[in-house]
Amino acid sequence: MLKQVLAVMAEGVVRTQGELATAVGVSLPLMSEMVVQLAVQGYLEEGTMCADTCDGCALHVTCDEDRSLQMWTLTEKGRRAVQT
Amino acid sequence: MQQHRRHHGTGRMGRAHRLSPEADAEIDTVVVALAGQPNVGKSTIFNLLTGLTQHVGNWPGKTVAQKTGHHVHGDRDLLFVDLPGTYSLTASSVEERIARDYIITEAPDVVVAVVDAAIPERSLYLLAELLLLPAPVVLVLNMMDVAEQEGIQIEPKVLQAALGLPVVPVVATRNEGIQEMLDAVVSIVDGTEAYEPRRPTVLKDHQEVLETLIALIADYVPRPYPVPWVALKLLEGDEQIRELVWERVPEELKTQLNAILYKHEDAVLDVAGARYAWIGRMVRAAVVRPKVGQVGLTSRLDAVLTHPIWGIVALLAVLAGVFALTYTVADPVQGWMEGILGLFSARVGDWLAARGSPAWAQDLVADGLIGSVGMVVTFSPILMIFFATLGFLEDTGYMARAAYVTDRFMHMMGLHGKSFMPLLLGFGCNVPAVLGARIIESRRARLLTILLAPLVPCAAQLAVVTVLAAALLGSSAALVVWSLVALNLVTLAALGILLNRFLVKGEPAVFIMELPLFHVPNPRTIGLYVWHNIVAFLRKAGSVILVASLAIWFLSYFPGGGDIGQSYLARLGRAIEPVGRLMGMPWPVMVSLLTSFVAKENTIATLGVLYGDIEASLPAVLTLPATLALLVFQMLFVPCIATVAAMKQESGSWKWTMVGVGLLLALSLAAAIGVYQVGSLLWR
Repeated sequence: MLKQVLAVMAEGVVRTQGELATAVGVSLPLMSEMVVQLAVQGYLEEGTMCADTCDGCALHVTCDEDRSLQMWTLTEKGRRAVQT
Repeated sequence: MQQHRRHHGTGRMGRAHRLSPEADAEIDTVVVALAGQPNVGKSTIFNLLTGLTQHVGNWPGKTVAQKTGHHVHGDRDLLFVDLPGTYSLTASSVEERIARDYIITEAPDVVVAVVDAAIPERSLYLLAELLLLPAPVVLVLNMMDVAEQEGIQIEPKVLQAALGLPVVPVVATRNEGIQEMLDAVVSIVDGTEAYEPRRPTVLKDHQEVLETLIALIADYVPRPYPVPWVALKLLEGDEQIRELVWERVPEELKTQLNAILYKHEDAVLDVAGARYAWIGRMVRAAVVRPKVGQVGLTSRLDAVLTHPIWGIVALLAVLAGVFALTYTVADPVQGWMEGILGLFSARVGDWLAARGSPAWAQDLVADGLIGSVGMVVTFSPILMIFFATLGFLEDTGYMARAAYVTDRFMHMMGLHGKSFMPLLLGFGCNVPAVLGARIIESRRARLLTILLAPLVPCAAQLAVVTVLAAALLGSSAALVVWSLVALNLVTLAALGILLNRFLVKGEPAVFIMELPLFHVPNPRTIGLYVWHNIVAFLRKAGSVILVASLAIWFLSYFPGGGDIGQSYLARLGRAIEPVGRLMGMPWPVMVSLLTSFVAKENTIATLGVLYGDIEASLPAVLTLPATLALLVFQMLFVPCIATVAAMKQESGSWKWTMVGVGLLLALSLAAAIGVYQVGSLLWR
């Protein structure tokens, strides 16, 4: 099932966890868990609006991770897993 | 209380767990391990049951707190061991290692797995792992009241039948279901209830390799570790288990095992994937979630705000709203401040003249300082409204939707959401936008983002065009500024497509995003957002802009002694006047645009030095086509020097920095000349 998640992501059509959940045929909470698992295993990489490199930014203090966009990018390891 | 004596039930994994009458007679204390994720109410249950009997210490050799306590249920003494909160049983944290080592080496009589009934998917992965360990499990669905409030219906009996183990609904905060949970624990220990769990299975693809591993390591796995579990963990890439095995196997077997594990490097996807498929089946069988439409405000709003067409319409409307609000609320305030500034400047000039100050000193203070820096400071109401609306949108969660709907355009440029983050920051300031490109792994996407970021109109640019448009275009100002922003974004997209196709080629990143729930905005958060931005802006006005304004004043005052036509600045201005003529701009306006290279606000500061009251003077020297050309040039012109420095730093290449600057210079000149020439034909 996790391979299926990576494969659907690699197609580059779906954009949100909700769309990904629909495409794979699972509930959104379950998809959220799978995405976290894939990130822990290094197949996805998590990023938020404010990265570590934003520390020097004057606006950094106004960043709120709860309200910011969270995203997961397919890593090189993820791409390889899809290809195999 | 009876002394704690217990049996060590090993090898129970994989078959029904029924204790013999002899074993029953031996049990004086039943050991119950409480397992669960953090924040599922495990501690509430533990405190409810153990009360004053609790003993707090540390897990052997660890700094993690270990809590135990007794509870008497009927004629049974139950010893509860509160395991650390864990999400799974991998070796990724000390808590997870403690939990699994305890269950394997101490073999509690029962493990009570506590699950948040409102989000069962989140906890069932831990259950899937617990079921592979040698201890029977009772599943507790805690927070049933919260699940009910959320409209989630769970059928404990159905889940029990699907899982093949006792499932007890509980509301620990109201002490509901606790007795039933204890009954279930005792019935499992007594063997009066069947325990035949349906565990997740390994996919066929890896069944063979798993059996091979089991056969290879069987003689080397120390007791009481179950061999199938150890083999599975090896396949999952578990470092702790690998060390455990590697300490015992001969060298030649290590080589063989390494080869197998390397070949099946991604087996974890199938092993964990099979567990998620198992969770999906259980949830589908026993959990009914509210249908879309009943979900709430976020889903209803998202149906419009993330729609491919309506989402874009909404985004354009939101942007238009931001500018309309800025003009209706902030522009009059800025006008009052400008009036006060004019009066103050005149008074200070008179005061200096009355004290016999030399003419140059009067001019320096009145025009060089108050007329320039003061003029820039009068922007603050505009920025305040701009940042307040931006902070409001950010705090409600709307900006994430803006990222979502604009992503399809990013895609056309070969970019994806990660590029949107720095580009979005560009609306505040282009410097963090360029620096923010660091979060993009792909060099190609990073370079593309760095080159495009200056086309996002920064707050200073917006403030400058807002002030100029208000001074020169009156009631049409809001529409013109909105169109200018649209022009920049369309140019950004077009340039991105061209660069992507011809200059910076490569494969785009693949990503998904998580849209946060809509929130009622917090006034304090918005206030802080506005405060930090305004302070940063005023600091800039008091440093970079002040120095640049003084330099401009010096160049415009000397050597003519106040005759600007004889000044150094005039000489520079006349040198570039032929270019300015193509755009209908006199040389002082061209000079003001050049000074924006130091800081965008300098355009206004320089015009303040050279023309005094720009609202009264500029319409006399600029026709309508020239005004539009000036605004277009200001929006597309090369970024400020700080942004250029950031571009060099982040791209690590003067070549690409110059390509970026050159592109923008060419674009701004071409667009402004085009606007003026076409406009002159239309409005002749």
